[in-house]
Amino acid sequence: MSLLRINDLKVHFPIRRGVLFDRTVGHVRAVDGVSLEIRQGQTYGLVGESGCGKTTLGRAILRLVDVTEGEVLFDDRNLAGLDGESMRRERRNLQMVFQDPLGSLNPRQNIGSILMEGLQTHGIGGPAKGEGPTEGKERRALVLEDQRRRVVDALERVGLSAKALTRYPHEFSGGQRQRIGIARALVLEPDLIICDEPVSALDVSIQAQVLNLLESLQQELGLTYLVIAHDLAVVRHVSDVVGVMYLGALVEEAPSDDLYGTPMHPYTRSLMSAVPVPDPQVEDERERILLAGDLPSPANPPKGCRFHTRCPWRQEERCDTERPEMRPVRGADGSGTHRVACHYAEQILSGEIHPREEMAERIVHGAG
Amino acid sequence: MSSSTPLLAVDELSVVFDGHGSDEVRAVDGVSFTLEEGRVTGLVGESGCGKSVTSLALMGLLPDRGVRVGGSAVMRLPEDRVDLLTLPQRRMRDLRGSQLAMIFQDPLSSLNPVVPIGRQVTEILRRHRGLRGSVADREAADLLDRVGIPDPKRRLREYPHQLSGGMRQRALIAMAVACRPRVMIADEPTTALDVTIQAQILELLRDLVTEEGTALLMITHDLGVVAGLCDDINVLYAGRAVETAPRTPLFSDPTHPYTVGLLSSIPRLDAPRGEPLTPIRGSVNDNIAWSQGCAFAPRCDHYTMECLQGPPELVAVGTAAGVEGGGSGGASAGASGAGAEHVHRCVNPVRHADVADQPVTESPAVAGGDEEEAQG
Ligand SMILES: Nc1ncnc2c1ncn2[C@@H]1O[C@H](COP(=O)(O)OP(=O)(O)OP(=O)(O)O)[C@@H](O)[C@H]1O
Ligand SMILES: Nc1ncnc2c1ncn2[C@@H]1O[C@H](COP(=O)(O)OP(=O)(O)OP(=O)(O)O)[C@@H](O)[C@H]1O
Ligand code: SF4
Ligand code: SF4
Ligand SMILES: [Mg+2]
Ligand SMILES: [Mg+2]
Repeated sequence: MSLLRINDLKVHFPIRRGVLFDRTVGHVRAVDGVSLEIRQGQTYGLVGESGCGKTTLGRAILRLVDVTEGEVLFDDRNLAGLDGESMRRERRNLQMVFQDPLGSLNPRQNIGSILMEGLQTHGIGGPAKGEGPTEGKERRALVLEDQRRRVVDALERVGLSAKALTRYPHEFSGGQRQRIGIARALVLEPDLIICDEPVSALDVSIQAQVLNLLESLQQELGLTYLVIAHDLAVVRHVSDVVGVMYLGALVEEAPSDDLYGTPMHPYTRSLMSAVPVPDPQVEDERERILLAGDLPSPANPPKGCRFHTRCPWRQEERCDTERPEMRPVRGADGSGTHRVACHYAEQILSGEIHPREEMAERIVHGAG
Repeated sequence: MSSSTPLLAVDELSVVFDGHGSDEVRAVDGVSFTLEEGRVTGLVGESGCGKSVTSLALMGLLPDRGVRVGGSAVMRLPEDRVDLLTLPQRRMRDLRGSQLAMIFQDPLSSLNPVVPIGRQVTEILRRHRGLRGSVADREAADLLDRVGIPDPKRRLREYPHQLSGGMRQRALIAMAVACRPRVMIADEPTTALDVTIQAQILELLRDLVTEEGTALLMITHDLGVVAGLCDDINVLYAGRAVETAPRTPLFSDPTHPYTVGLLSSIPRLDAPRGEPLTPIRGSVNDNIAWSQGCAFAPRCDHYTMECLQGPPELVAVGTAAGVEGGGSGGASAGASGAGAEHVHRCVNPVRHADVADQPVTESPAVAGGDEEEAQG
């Protein structure tokens, strides 16, 4: 069952110029037609290079940026169409964990108050309706007590304790701060947590602690994750399904093992070939596809296939003029769960189409 | 010692910052390694272990006050040998342009924002190679072309902010190689870049080392980058090298519990999915002073009382380790031209069989449940 379904989502940021009058002179097409589905209890990993629109997509789901077009169906409600107040209520079910644990925690608030805040905003805690006192001091005390219990519970789940309540963010290490960020999301008992680069600011030994924590919380609580990260090894490790983005659009999506085992889009292939592996033997033999040039500007994406300006397998005409749609291909298991946006994915995989000559020299074998 | 002396021999380098009232910081605490022509030496370790301070000390870029530098860093020059740590400022400045170059993580901070890239490159060529006018311009374009910047003539007229991160890093490398330095220090040169751009830059550095014979000191926290690029590797922890080895034994036969821990903490793109990671518990803040014993002891699964009898000494793998001053004779890293010896600083090293058999699920360190103490 899918918990979240995104249909043809677009987020375009206006580019404004002018001294007296703000004129809109163009748009940054940060997210430009993305459709995907996240199943209940699973982890969807989103990868791609800086500026490809990962964060914007995550923020659009939470309506932290304006959606230009498209639908965000959460439990069959279209979040993109909700008014501000309804969306605020909905946010308790969708929480976000950010990259920079320190920047996302108010330095002047202690941990207790940081974690209480969400509960208070959403009026969570206290005796259920019809039970116990309905108003007055007595009820307030019960509510506070229940909220405190929930906060301590969340802290314990992430490996911290009630001792943290009266402390401030700067008193914790980076890994601990990220745990606090996760506890802040957990305390609201959300269904979906969007993790934007949850470990990229952390040392490797701490990264592993946080990744294992996310995994065990998912098992205990049945959480659904959208994990956004540029580190492919991290995404592969945590995700059931992985989507690869390039210039505001998905170019390939498949179950994690399938994608890493049989990448079909030329961009995915070059991306994966660029990831160094901590094993000298593998490094010496590994094929690397070195892309030429830089990422084009999302304000002015190339016509046709967006990757054609850098694609080693580009074919005349069609690649330059016709934008390839995401289409199901026979994956490793033939289930059709592998989708790719390339006109020639099958022929490239079978070796029928070769990289163009001037690009072939950029395909390096081994480290020597 | 072998007959050929290394290009740069760093011996017992230490850097201590005044605490300004609080305790002093021993950022680098007796680190030794060598750099050789056409070889890449790696410094790897987590945040705060002293990688950048080591490089700044070698480049003579530490602040003038509030810092004490010890040890030596002897560089072999065509006519003589000099100790970089004691060289007068003025000679150091000359060396920095001609023999020594450095690339930083953030290229923007090392480029002048209000001067076009071209002028910054030709200025270096004028100062250090005496090139002027159209000759300098042509050489500058040539350099940019060599580091893979397309349309170099146009790029030379552009300002740093007009270049992407990857292009800026390449421009910086072009400037670093402009004077054909014999030693190049790269401090996390690709950490801020996307993997596809990182792959291009690493390829560039590799060419520089193999084609020009430059000696490269590569500083990174990424063990994947280390595996692909470095010949000899020094793993640092809390300011000291805890394991030094050529790349093959370091990855296939790591012996220090910290190295083993790092390697089992990182998810690998080529490993089967579903294998749990085995993190190192706690964080770098949970350490003790080396003078008391092994700084890694609070996070170490192999720790015994012996680990707290003073600092473990650096010994060759396979020999019994004592603590410093115990008289069993410490080993020196990288004494021969054929690469570093495999040495470690540990009294209960991990034997290879342990690593292979280690059941990943039985780790006591999963998710560090004992981590509620705030950093001290
Ligand atoms: N509020 C905004 N106004 C205008 N442009 C924006 C805004 N937010 C993002 N962008 C642009 O949209 C594009 C996508 O940005 P986004 O932050 O989503 O990328 P990302 O994939 O998360 O990158 P990174 O890996 O660097 O975090 C970029 O070109 C960015 O400059
Ligand atoms: N100018 C300074 N004054 C005082 N302490 C300093 C100074 N510069 C660095 N340190 C300390 O020296 C230690 C080593 O710092 P260094 O910058 O070398 O770490 P690093 O290994 O490069 O880490 P990273 O991976 O985060 O770059 C740290 O504890 C740091 O706080
Ligand atoms: S559609 Fe053409 S240009 Fe685009 S990825 Fe496929 S082969 Fe390359
Ligand atoms: S000396 Fe002891 S505490 Fe230090 S790494 Fe070796 S076994 Fe662990
Ligand atoms: Mg982002
Ligand atoms: Mg550093």
